[in-house]
Amino acid sequence: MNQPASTPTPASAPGTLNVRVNPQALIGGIVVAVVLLGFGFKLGAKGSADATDAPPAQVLDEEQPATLDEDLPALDPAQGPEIAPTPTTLAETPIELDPVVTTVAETMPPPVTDEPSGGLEVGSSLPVVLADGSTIDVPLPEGWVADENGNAHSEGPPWMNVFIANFNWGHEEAITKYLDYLAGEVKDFDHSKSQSVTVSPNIVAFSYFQYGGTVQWSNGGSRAVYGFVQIGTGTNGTTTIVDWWSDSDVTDEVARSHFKYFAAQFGV
Amino acid sequence: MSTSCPNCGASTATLHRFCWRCGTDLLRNDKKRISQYAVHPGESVNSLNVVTSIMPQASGDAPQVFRFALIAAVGVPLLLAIFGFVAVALATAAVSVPVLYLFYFYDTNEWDDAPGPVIGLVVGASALLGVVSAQVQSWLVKPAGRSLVDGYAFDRLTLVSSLIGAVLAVALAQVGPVTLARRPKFDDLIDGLTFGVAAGSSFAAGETLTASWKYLANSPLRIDDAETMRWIADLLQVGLFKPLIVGAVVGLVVAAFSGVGEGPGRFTYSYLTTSLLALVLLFLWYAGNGALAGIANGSTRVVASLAWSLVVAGYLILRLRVVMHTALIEAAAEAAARGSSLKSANIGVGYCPECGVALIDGANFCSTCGTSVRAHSRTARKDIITERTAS
Repeated sequence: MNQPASTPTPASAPGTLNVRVNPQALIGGIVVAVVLLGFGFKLGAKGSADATDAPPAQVLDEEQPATLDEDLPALDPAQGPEIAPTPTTLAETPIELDPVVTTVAETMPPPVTDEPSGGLEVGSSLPVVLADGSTIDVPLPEGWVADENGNAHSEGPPWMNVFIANFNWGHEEAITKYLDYLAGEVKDFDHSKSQSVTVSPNIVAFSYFQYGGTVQWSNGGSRAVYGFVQIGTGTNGTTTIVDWWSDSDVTDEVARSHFKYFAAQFGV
Repeated sequence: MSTSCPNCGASTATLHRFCWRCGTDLLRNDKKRISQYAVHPGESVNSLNVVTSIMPQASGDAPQVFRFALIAAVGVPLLLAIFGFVAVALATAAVSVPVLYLFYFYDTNEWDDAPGPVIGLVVGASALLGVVSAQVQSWLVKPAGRSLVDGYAFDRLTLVSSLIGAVLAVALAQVGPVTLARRPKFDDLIDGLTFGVAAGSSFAAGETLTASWKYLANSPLRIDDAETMRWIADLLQVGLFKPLIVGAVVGLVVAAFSGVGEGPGRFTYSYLTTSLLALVLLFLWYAGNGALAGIANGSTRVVASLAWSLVVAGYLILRLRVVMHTALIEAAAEAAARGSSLKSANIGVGYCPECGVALIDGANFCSTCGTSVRAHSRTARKDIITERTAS
């Protein structure tokens, strides 16, 4: 006696939970369930962030002025070029990140070691190699350490990093290329308008911008990332990029004090 | 006219293609029958069919439904991303495979009328442990010291974070299904493997949601100029490859714990070696993604990373199938050698959900198509019993 597999079956035996559903209902149910759960998690995450007064997203609005202006020297946006977002990936525009011999002494005034801004205690220092082979020590806030690559990071909260590099690019070219680079690394990259100010006779152009977005980690997770970039171009044409960034929770107050501190070290 | 199986000696009809007791291909006298997967003999064991590998009991009853359901579960987040709802897409991708498993458990009655322990231990506990894992990783592996420029280079931190991630996944994600595998109701390999895969995918969902929580909370609901291609690549990683790869390694570990035959699972030498293999494979996947990030950029990195995931997932799918196929064949052969019968053997009147032909009383395999009776869902078995009672 052969029985087709699709033969309708009577109601399930008493006490059983299984009730067969038709394929369309099954697929529809799955689609609806995952979408509802997706929205649920999005709204739940938003709700939990609101409930705990978490710091707001650092994804920046083009039209929104930088929030740290109050702690910075007066800036004149009119002096600087307005850089439009260029979501070009690195594959399309390869970037040569080979730092040239550092010329910090020429492009930046001596670091303000005696009066670090922001009320931060000075701890170790970051040795920076100069063009003539000598080095200067950029003081770091307490709890920060220099690494072998010439950058620095905090070893405890608020888990921040400073990336410093010098390039032979002109000022606008450096901004454009670094924006391109960041756009290739940071998903949904967004940044504030670049602003410029003259800070020193040795620096012919100085700009900064803030950025935000997400980075994807190798284990599948993603985290928000944001940073502040200072771009200084010296009279010799060398451009120094200082990118202060973090992907950890950093309060506005901490961010403000650290940014002010590092701005002071680089003559802003 | 009847003859006997050259492998187990069972009496079989001349026209039978497969031995009803040990599953041997009588036509070719092939007891390993690699070209006829015991779960779904229309396929070879060496196939990359995801559904018949990770949802074995769906193959006979709903051959296409769960395939379309999987496509829908992966496709929906991609559609959301294309329309700019990237945060929702990310959350949807993270939960899509575990949700699919809930429907699978329901449809096949895999939880055997007791959904509480299965949902609680396999899905709930594993997802919670995924949350714990993500938190521990964020405490142990801080990105400090990695500049944005060389932050993704293949360095010591990548190796350490990959190792920590792999150890946590293998150690924690198996807790729920191993607990379940000690119960007589769920003590065989096919249950262990299925629950292991479901637990691994739930664990991956918990990890992904926790690691992405800040982005989910802070990003706008819709982004106009989202980088769609990059999001699609990441969603495939998070929504398909991660649950599949983590699920497969955990499935292999729990299957090794359950063992080939029936009876509560045990911590054996095979379990230990399988755990080590799972650890190495998961570490290689994580570290490989990190290494590729260090040597490639932009779209090259995205393509290379997806290709690497495809290789790892493909290998694991093949291994899952070999383990399941071999276990179904060996368990039946061992029972035949002992003169005993498996708990899952057909009793009285029964029909093969794969081909509809009547099964022999006491059969472990369909003598016509070769499908393992154990691969029939509990729903199919109950349908037969109900029908018999009604008639």
